[in-house]
Amino acid sequence: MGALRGSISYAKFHVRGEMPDAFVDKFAKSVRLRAFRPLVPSDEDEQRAGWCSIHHPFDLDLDHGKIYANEYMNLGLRIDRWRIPSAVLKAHLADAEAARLEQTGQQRLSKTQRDDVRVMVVRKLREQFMPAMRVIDLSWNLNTGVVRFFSHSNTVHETLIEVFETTFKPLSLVLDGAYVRAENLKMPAASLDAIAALEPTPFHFEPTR
Amino acid sequence: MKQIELGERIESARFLGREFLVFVWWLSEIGEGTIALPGHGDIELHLDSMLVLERQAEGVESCRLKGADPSTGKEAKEALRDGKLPTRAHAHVSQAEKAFSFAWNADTLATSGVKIPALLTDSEDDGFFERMQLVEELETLLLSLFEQFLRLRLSSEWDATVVPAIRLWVRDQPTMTRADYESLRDQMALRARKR
Repeated sequence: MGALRGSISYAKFHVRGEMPDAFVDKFAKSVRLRAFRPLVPSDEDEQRAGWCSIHHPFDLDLDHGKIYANEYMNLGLRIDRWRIPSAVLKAHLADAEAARLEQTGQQRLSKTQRDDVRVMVVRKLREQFMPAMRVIDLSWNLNTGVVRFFSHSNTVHETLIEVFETTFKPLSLVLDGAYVRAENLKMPAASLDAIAALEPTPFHFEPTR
Repeated sequence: MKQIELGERIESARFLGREFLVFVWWLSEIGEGTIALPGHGDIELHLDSMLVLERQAEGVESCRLKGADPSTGKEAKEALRDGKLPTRAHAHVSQAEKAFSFAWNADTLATSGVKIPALLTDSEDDGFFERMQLVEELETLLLSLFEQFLRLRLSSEWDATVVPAIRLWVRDQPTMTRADYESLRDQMALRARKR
């Protein structure tokens, strides 16, 4: 599913904050700075997120032509994560710990030694596994300040907000909802205060006053 | 406004999405599937194929209805009478020649699995613009409907007229007619213009 093809399922966000002057060039530069950097086995990070081309997740060379489509900025949010099957990790850890015990002649390994073994094993296994990759389309209408993000996962939303707000600082993202829509409808402050003070309506009974 | 206060306001108003779905459901039924949207003309809207109603008691009590048209069935109204409100629904909206269908999430007002009218172009670039244009058309219709709801929800007419009418409908008793509702809505709009 996505912006370009497939089923259309998206969460709608609204961009808050003043757009900077000459934002087209500034944003392109900011996006390049936050382009996805592939994970390597020696990295400490379990997961990394960044921008890629909406057309291809391996295309990280993000020039104007790949980012902008008329009034839209289109990007892929690429999230890579090391996923070593737990049974594989457990078996390799047991082997490595046994080898370390034999090597040191100890009865038991200390916590620090176990952590060292774990880091070594994880690094070695990462050489044999590819990180799991997720790519989610994002389309930002720069005229209306609406960002359509083609995932409904709350965890992915958190990652999006973090990456977006780091890239386009000081702009922020707010998930759509009743109150946000009222704000976007330019309702007066008194109406917004009234919305914040509303109580749910019981439709199934007549409350006694 | 501070970010925390804004966040609290956003979260505390999420229940309005559920009330909005009740309102849309009622409006669709009194209009026999047709709703007049000032500035957009008549649209056809009905809840079809899936409806989830929930009530927050000690835990979440949920009632998931599927089928050809679950919102018109006995179970749906019984769930409303039981204090449950729609949290998700599948809806069909059409205007003129354009037909859309989608799943609606009440709490975020998000749409998913949106089916849009067939595209005219095969090219990916042109297809993107056409897809976005259609999605934005649908959003505009839904926003206009939401605005109608919100203005009513903030007015004294909500408690005085609309909620009693919805309660009658929930109990399967004769409720307000589409003509009465449109007259109420137009009077409100007139009063707002005079202010």
